[in-house]
Amino acid sequence: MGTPETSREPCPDRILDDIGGAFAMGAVGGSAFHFLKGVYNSPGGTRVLGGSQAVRLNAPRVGGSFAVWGGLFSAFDCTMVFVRQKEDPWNSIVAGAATGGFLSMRQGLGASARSAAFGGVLLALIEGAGIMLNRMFSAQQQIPVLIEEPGPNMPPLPSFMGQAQNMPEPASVTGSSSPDSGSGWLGGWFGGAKKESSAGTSSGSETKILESFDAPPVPSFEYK
Amino acid sequence: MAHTMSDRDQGSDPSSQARLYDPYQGLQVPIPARNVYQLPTTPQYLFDEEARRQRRGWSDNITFFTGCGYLSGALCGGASGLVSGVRSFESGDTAKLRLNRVLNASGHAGRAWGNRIGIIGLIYAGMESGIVALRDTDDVWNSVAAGLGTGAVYRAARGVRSAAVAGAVGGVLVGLAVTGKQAMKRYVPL
Repeated sequence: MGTPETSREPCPDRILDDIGGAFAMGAVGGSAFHFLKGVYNSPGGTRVLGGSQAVRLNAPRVGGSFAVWGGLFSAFDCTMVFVRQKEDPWNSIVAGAATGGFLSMRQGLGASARSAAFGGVLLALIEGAGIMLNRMFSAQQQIPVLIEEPGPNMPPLPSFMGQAQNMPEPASVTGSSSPDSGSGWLGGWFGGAKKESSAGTSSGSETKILESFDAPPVPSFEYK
Repeated sequence: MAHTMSDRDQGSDPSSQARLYDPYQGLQVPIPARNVYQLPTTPQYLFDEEARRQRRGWSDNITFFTGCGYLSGALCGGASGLVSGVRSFESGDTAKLRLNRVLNASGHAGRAWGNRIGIIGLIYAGMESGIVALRDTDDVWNSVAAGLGTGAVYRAARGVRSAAVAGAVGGVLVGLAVTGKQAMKRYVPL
């Protein structure tokens, strides 16, 4: 998938992290939201007081429900990782569905199934967005690397050209010594093209002619 | 020499914080002399000033304290709710009714206590990160001040006297916890 440097804590500690993070997000976000709502809904001189009262009443509750969702999701996610022995987006999707279903289990099977579907779809959207962002980000990083790549491909070519050059050369010599048109042109074209390309590719560097194209013998790693 | 994060409390004693590592452990290799290496157990830094300044980040602090607080509050509240739910069983109850009583009681108490301790953990974590960032030291007094502040903020709505009492209680509790942890690390062979 990618390097694991950017991933999160290993699985048991991940649950605690997620509970804490989710509670903090819910409490802070809920505080802001309920403060504004309380300020809006309270009478003239006591707006700030009304806002802080609303925060004291509601922010722990919002934080708690976020923490329950986050903790259950993380627990199911870790269970899926343990069962499948893989780290996938599918773990998150199934965990989201399981969390949604589990939290509505007391309302009966229909409500549970609907919540499970809702949770699964939500997580699938989040994971899909994450994957697309990852692809865009790594595609941007690959473009400057590709421009430099033809470099390593250049040196192997002249050796091939050098060998192929030997065989047409006697043919082109005999061709040019015979009457001008026809085979002279032909030999000249082939020999000239090969000479041109090899001269172009081997500018300054020597072309070596390999005896055969077999790979050198593989070293054996026996411990002596 | 590499400076480790805990150099200042253990007196730069590498052997007490090293992990012994044998690369050929469990393998049958005909090597006569096997070296055992001492690997560091904490991150190592090039400069002593940098090593001294590395601490828990504020986000780690928040997730740790809030998470532990919420989880412990929820578990304890759930257990006490379970007990009170079982105690409220009546003689003619069906199994479904009993399950309902137990779930309601434990859920209610668990959520309530989890929220309270989670909020306390959040306020404490935020205050401690803020005080440590302000003072740029690593004392026990940072934690005690954070405990004072947490108690005061938590009971601020009940009046000044209530806030002062709660702040004092919070400061004393945190001071006890921190000194207790340090004493345990030094004297208890775990």
